[in-house]
Amino acid sequence: MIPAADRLQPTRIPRLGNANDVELAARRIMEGLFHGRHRSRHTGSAIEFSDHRPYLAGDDLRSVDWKAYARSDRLVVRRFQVERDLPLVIVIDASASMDYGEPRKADWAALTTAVLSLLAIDQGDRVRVFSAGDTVQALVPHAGGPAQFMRICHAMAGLTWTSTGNFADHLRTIGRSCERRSLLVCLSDWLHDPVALQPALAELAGRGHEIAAVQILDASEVHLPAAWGRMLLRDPEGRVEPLACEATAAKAQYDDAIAAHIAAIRALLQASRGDHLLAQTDADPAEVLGTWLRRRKRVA
Amino acid sequence: MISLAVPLALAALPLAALPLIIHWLTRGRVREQVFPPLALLQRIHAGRARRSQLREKIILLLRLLAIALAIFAMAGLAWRGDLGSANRPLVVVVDASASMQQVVGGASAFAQARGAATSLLDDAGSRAVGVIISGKPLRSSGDLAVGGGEALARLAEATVTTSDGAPAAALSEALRVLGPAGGDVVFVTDLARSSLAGIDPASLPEAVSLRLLDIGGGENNAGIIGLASEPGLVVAGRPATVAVRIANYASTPLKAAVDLRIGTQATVLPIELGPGESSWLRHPVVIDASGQHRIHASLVRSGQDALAADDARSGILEVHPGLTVLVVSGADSNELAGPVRPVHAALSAAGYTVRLTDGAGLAEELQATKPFLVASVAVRDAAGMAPPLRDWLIAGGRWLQFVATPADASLVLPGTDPPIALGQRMDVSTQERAAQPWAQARLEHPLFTVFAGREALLRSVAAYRYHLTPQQPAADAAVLATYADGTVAVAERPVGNGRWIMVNTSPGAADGTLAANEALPLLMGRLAAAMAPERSDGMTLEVGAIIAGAWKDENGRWAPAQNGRTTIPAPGLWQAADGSLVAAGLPGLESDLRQLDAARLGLEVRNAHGALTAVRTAPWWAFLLASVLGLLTVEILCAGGVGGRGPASATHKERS
Repeated sequence: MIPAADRLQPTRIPRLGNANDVELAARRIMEGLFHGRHRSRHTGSAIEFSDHRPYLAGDDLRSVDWKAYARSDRLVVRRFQVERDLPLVIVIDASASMDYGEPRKADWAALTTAVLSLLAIDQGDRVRVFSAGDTVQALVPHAGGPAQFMRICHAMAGLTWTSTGNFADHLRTIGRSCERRSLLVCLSDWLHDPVALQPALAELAGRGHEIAAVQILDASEVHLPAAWGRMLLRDPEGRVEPLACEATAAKAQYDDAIAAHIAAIRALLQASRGDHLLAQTDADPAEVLGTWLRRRKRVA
Repeated sequence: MISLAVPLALAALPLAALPLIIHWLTRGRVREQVFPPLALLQRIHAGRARRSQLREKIILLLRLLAIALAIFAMAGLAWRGDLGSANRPLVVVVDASASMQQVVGGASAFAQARGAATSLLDDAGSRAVGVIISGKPLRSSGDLAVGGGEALARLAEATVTTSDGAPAAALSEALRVLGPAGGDVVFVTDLARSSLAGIDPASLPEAVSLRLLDIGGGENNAGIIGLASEPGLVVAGRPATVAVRIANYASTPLKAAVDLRIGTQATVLPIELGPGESSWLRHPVVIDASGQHRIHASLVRSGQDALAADDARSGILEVHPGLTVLVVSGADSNELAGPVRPVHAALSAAGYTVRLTDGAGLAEELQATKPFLVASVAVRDAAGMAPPLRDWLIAGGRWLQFVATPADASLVLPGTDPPIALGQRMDVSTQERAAQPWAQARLEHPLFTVFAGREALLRSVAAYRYHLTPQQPAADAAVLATYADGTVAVAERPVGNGRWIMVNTSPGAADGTLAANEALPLLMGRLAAAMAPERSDGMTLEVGAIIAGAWKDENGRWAPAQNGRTTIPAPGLWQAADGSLVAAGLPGLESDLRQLDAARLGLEVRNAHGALTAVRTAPWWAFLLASVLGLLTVEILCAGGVGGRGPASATHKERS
């Protein structure tokens, strides 16, 4: 097993872009600042034809589609889709609950951040990384290029996972801070109250952001190990009083409850036109992300 | 009223706190684990937390209760019910027989019986009560009295005896005390097999009710219940066997040894017995010195024995210097004539010491000679010798009577039927016609086994009869040989402790008689085997036996004698003034602690506390097993920990 710190060495990060069918793309039309490979809502001088619209006084006569005029005897103007880069925003839940599991959910999130960042940078996109801890903190500025990747790897290595902040509020803050429509990849265990999350996600969706929620859970969180027996369980964030519990007896009900919670989060994201990926920390991040991105590409 | 049979068992009551201690100890040892989705579990748990805690407390309480109940059960907790009607007189009979010496639950059965009887008397209130201590001697508080002062006093001074309980005598006394008005009789006993010997509950008066109070016991006892010599007559210098009978009354096998001491010689004999088995252990001996020899057998075993009194037994082995036969005949001792001559010759040839007497002063002769056998033939003074002969027979003597002459036929013991009732006398002219051969003989009888294969010899014996015999012998006689016409030739019958063999044939030397064809010497040679018992159990008397003379124990204390007779009061060796010894032991049945089947007698049995259910008769492990099963049931029924399945709900890490 490679130590977590070593796995975040830039040279060790698996490069998903090498596979032709893997691409980080938004399902919705994003709004990048620079020309790129992703469709934008802007039309203009580009090579990708979009549609026609009636001629209006003042339009550049060069944009009039004379062939169409010949066919239909109506003056129409050709419009072109402007391709922009993908503003990728990665939000990392830096709460104490992420510091759990074997391997740790935090390590899995950091590695995923690095892999996604590398993929985006390889695609020529710009990446921002926020940590949602006690407060929202922009770990790296919105930028692209190899230097940005190095910065991200460095930032990941120094991240601490001790906060008890409110993740829904943090999402709102991040959504407001993004001036352009962005793809928000939120890496968290998503063990939050769906009722509290719903307005935040709705607000993000309203602002045109696309939310891709990666729910990172340890295997023991998905299926309560009956072998634990009688335990005194403690919440790492201290929100819940320690609880003496007989794992054998509670297992069935807990497994049902966590499955219902995951379904609730997924439904919430679907309502916000977002995407949801459930990842267990015992799986390889590159493999999980590859599969996920291929599926996204097919759906898009 | 609640009572306890073994209050000592309550010392184990702190064990009931064991589940509590284990609960506390294990609660402190629960491992801690960080678990981010704890809110989920808390949500699940929240609705059931209170119930779960309550259930946990209930389980704990039930565990405590189960252990406490088991301890109380082992302590013999019982509800004492009323014994009989509240207004009827009550007589409590306490069994003081030897078996009550057994140890039951750490105390003697008698002590517990006395305690139970005291409780009964204390609870009697206004009832007129009396108490009887059964056993030998019987002790009674006398007439009924309210308050039971005399009864309690009699009870307090009562001690266990070494005899049987004499329950029939005790019940008779109880009926006498109750009088015609009747009342309740409660027998407090260990329900040993002889507890109700001689009592027929069905024959009790209507006004009297009999109940049993079982104080338990009957287990884990082995003992020496018999000493015997084989053959019954031990002669100096001749091989014999000393036999010791061991019984294992326990429900578990016995592996032990018997330390057998004969005089100064000691031998250890190992023995293994299964549950309920008994066996004879035999040790061959040759004792050269005649006289009385002390025998002592003791059981050497590991583990506790409920009744120690039967673990040893003493006996006196009488070794005879030789076998003397006293021949009573009218013939002068110096003139062996007539039929006495072949008898004398045959007895001498068989190795007996033969002494001749004419019958005058027979009683003194018997006392002085102590013969093995008296043989009579052609007697002179039949009337004079009959009484001493009868007494000697009743005391255990042996008599071989030849009917050779009319005087022999007239020798009738007063009040005693002869084995063969002789008929009318024959006249001379019919003598020859009556001379018939023997047709049949019981060859399996010890007297005739020597004729097996030589039956012709017997059949050639022709009667020389002075009297005809009827077809039927005496009621309790055994016919050993018959004539061709079916009449009886030889018969025997017991008289008292003795045996009487009558031979309806002259042993004379005339042609065709016993002596003429060599049958007589063969018959005489078999007398010792045929007339001496194969085994003698008389080495030990039972406690309570009455013997003539005054006797003292090994410590020199004289037993109370009455009218020149002594009732042996206790086991051990007893010595008479003339130095002769007898040994006494427990009555056989009192060693046998097997429970009486009182239910078969239709009697109501309660335990020592008056409860109908005999709680304490169940073994301790049954209670333990019941407790474990109870605990397991509690665990299974209440298992569920956090709770059973229910509707799943989402978690809330953050409270909105």
